[in-house]
Formats: sequence, structure tokens, C-alpha cells
Amino acid sequence: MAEDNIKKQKRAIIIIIGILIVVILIVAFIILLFKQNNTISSNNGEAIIVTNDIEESNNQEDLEDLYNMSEQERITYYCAEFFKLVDRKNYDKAYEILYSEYKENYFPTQTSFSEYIEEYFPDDFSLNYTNFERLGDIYVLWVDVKDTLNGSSGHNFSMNVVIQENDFNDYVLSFSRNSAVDSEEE
Amino acid sequence: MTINPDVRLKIRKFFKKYGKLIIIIIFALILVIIINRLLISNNAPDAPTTTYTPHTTVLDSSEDVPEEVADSFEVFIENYVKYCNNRDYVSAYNLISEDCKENFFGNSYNNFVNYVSEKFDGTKSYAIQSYSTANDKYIYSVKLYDNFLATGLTNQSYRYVEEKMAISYDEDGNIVFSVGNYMESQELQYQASNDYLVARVTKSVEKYSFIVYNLELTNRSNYTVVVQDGNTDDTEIYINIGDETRGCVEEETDIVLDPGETKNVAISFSKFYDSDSDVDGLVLNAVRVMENYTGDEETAQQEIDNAIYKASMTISMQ
Repeated sequence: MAEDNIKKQKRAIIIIIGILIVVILIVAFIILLFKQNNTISSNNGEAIIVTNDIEESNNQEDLEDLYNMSEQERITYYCAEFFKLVDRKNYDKAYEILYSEYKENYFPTQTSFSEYIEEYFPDDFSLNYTNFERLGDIYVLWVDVKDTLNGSSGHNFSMNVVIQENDFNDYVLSFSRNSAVDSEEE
Repeated sequence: MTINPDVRLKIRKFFKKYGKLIIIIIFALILVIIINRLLISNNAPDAPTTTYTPHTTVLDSSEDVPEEVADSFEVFIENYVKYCNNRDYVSAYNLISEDCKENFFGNSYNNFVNYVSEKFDGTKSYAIQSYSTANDKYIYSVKLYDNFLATGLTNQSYRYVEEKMAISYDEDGNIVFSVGNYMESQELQYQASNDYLVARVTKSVEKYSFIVYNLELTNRSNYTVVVQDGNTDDTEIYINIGDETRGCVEEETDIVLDPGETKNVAISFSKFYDSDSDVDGLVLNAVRVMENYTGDEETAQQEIDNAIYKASMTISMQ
């Protein structure tokens, strides 16, 4: 009888511990979900619109990377991300990142932006950062654009990129529009 | 599709034997993943770290602008820039201290408008940076530049205009604000004299990087008194500051007094407002009293040789 009682007590303890673990897991899940929602909603600026689960996951991974980056690393990362979108012809997303007044000045429509890129940017290019300056809350980058397919005989040029970071992965950007044009005409 | 009974039995045996272990492992994995995620989430910084710390003093970070006043200073400077951008010059002028209006703009609103319209030749963005503190004044470096985000530096070069603005509180708790590198001015009464010349320092006007002394010179003789004409090899006017001497900026300006004449001249010297060194004295290093003075370079040496009196004169300012 005594052994049965001990067994029953043991089982009860195991069940209680099991229930506690499950409760802890549920609470942890809820906290995690709450935190993730907060992070994503705080980054839902004009530039970043998270639309589906995959993007949410990518966004979270990007954020985690960005937390560990220095100021300069983050800014060059944004610049690279923007031109990655351009390189992949993801013009609607790239256009969303452009600073609104800059768009009004140089690219009033997304079509004008995509036409400009198609005409003046190499089909395949790489970026090389030659200088970096901060002026108040904006950053100015000096960037060499290299035509990776055609090398030195291709369309290589240098331009400025101006970036303002509002939050992690939330930024607006503009670039010297005529740098690519002028070098093409030379 | 039917599963071979042997296989089914083996699977059942396997789960019977290792089921609990598998469940524990799955739970442990989920727990690890959740804890990992939670740790990452908890480590997420509130905002991106940046080197833009406008109220951290560049020259001495131990003298940061106190938090309780930093915001009001920033808003004040922001308002000044906003008024200038909007061409609301009256409102901008009203923000400036009476001392700055008098000693920098000569109490002339038009002078202010001319000054501002040159700086604000279009809508400007700005960046402020606490630069240093001196004499209870917080000195900000304010950079004005075109809205580079709106242009992307298209057909533009990267440049900005920088000026120091000083901000502080008076005894009544009102903000005292000066622009254009102007810091402060003081009425002074320092004097030195001899039989031929009386030299008085009557005022100092301090900009951030130089100091201007108003000097009143009276020739009390019947001869010509030369204070500066560039015809000697020596530095003719300088200040003693700490262990060094600094010549005046206006070394090309002739200061020659006719018999009985009184002249007021403003002489500038390089000196940072926030430097620890004080000016000990102003030296008129080559005062010459001449009976016949022509100012001609070719005869200058002969005239100096024939001078009635030659001396260095120090106006102590201690």
C-alpha cells in the first residue's frame, strides 16, 4: 500500500511538473508573439511593409543582424539592400524607400524611376564605398558603381547616396541622379 | 496502403520504448528555441546607436549639456533656423540677445537681415553639436546645409556652413542667445601712457576664435607718433597670452597719429573663447615719435634712426 501511495505521489509530482512546463511554454510563446508584433509594428514605416509570414521571418532575422552592427555597417547595409532591390528589378519596393521629396524632384512616378534604372544602370553591378560622412541625422556615402559584366569598358561611375535612418531597417534614401547620366554621356 | 504488421509492431515498440524520451527531447528543443528567441528579443536595443549626440560636448565630454536644459536649447536653435528659413527675420532677430544685437549687428536690423539672407540662401537643414562650455555659456556648433535628402546631392557638392551659437540663461531664467560666432563683450579700463602717447583699452568683443580690442590712442606731443606702419622688422602690436605672444590680425593697417590727435582703432587677435589662457597685456611694441615722418618705405629706416623716442609700451590687463 505504501509503495502504491509513493508511486501515486511521484506520478502526481510528474504531472504537476509537466503542467508547469506546458504553462511556462504557453506564457513564453505569448510573450514572444507580443514582442515580435511590437517590433514589426514599430518598423512598419513608409519604407517597410511586412506582408506575409516569410517576410516577417526575414525581417526579424534582418533586425537581429542589424542589432549587432555598428552605425556605419548599418548604413552601408541599407545602401546595399536598396541597390539589391534595384539589381533584382524589384522597383516597387525600391521606389518606396526613396525619400518623398526626392521622388517629387526627380522620379514623380515609379515608371520614371524604373525607366531611369533600366537606361542608366548596368545590368549587373557591384558597389564600392569610398567615403562615409554623417551630417546631423543624415549619412552621405560616396559609392563607386562597377559594371561587373563589362569591367572597365562598361558603364562605371561614382555617385553619392544620402540615407536617413528612422529605426532599425526603417530608412529613406536618395542618390545623385545625374551621376549615372553624366558618365553615360561622357 | 497497408503497413506490414511487423513494421507496425516495430514502430509501436520503438515509440513505447522511446516515446517519453522523444517527447522530452521535443519539449527541450522547443524550450531552447523559445528561450533563445526571448533572449534575442530582450537584447534588442530600443533605438539604433549613432554617433550623433548633439548635447555631448565635443571638446570635453565631462561638460555635457544638462538634460534638463538640452531640449529647450535645441528647440530654441530649431526655432531660430525655422524663422530664418521662413524669412521671418523679425522673429529670428527677437531671439537674439541685446548684447549680440548691439555688438555684432550694431543694433541694426538691416545688418541682421543681410547677415542671415547670406547664410540662408535657400531652405536649410541643420545639425547642432554641443562644442564646449565657457563662462556659463553652452557653445553649439551649428551646421547649415541644403536638404541633401531631397536632392541626393544631384548636381551638388557636399558642403555646409558652420557657425558657433552661444546659449545660456540670465539671472531671471531667460535664455540668452547669440549667433555668428559672437560670444560676449566687456567694457574695459586699461591704460598705459608716457610723455608722448596715452593708450587705453576701452572694450573687448569676443568671437569664438578671436578677440577684438577697442583701443583709444591719444598723441599728447607735437610730433608724429607711429604705432604701426609695417616699416619695422618687429611685430608692432601683439598680446601676451599665457606663455606666448600673438600678433594682431590687422598688421597691414597703419596707425599713425598726428600731433594732438586721438584715434580709436579695433585690433583683433586670434584667441579661442573657451581657451584656459587669459590675455595678460596688449603690447605696442614699436612706438616711434618722429619729427619728420613721410611713411615712405625707402626712407623709413633713416627716419626711425632719427626718431625722437622709440619704445615698447605694455598695457597691462591683469
